Amino acid sequence: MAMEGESSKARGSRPCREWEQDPLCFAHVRLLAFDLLALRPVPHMPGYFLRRGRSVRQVEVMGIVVTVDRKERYLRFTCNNGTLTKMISNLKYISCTSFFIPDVAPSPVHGDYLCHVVVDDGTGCVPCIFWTNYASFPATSPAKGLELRSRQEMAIATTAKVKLGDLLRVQGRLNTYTNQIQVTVASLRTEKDPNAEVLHWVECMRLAKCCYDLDPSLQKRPLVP
Amino acid sequence: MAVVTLNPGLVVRLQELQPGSSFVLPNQSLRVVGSLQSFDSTSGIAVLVDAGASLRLDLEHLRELPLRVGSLFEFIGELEVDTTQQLTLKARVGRNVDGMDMKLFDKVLQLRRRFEKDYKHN
Repeated sequence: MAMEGESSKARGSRPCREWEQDPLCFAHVRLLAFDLLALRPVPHMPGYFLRRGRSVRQVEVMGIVVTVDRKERYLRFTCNNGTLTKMISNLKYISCTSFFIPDVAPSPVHGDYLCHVVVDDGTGCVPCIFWTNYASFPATSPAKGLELRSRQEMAIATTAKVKLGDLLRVQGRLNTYTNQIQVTVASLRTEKDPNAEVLHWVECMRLAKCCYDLDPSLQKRPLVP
Repeated sequence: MAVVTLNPGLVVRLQELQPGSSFVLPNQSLRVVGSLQSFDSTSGIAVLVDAGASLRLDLEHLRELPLRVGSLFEFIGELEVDTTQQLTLKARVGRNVDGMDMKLFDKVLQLRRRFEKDYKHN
């Protein structure tokens, strides 16, 4: 309780328990890049960010792809004697740094496991990361078996289509990596409508003025029968 | 993973790229929209026009982009200013935006600039 009070004071915002009643905390908040990059992480609460005293966890951004970087989750190499195959994680996201699979022959890697994209909406560049290795995290995914496999294939197919110059609509969760804010992608879509970005700008400004900037307690609540 | 250091391409209209403008700076990242007036495939130099203004583009890095003279295109790149004050945008990203409502684009761009200014001011 003391910790909650302390962190709320540090944030200069309402207590955490009030966030549960704030729909902004559970919605994909549409933000322009400069607004998103100005969000401040909440101390001791990973995944929570503050925008004018209100918590934001999920966002929707749109912009032109200016960087695409596809990486495999694992870097596979063979030791000098050629008898032992070792796999190490080449990403800092994985806490496990190395492990051995002496009895299992390495299976070939199909597709990409990680797609790192930067989208530019003219006000800022938002790094987005798309994990496509669903099968590597069976415990954390509700999908099993074939569904898991098909989800992974769909994710790989989606990221494979992303190319420089595409206009992307990205929805995902916020987090930080090396003190830099980024979006972990839940869904992405390539927009073909040339006016889509302009309409997104209008929507971002409208929502900011009519919804996000307002105190949730002062907003009209829907009538409950 | 490399930390991203890319500058966002500031959205500008071609008529705003006049000498003395705050957008005209060497190596300034810009995003421009306009109709492709000409394109030389050997040199990779193209000319983009919009509302009477024009801009020279260097499309050397966008050889795979299907270009068509007369179509609307959007490019992001870095501005180069030579000794004769001639401006060239070295494009790194481009896309076709045929069908874009330029009046709406212009109006919303002004609104967005005001919104951004107000946000930073507050």
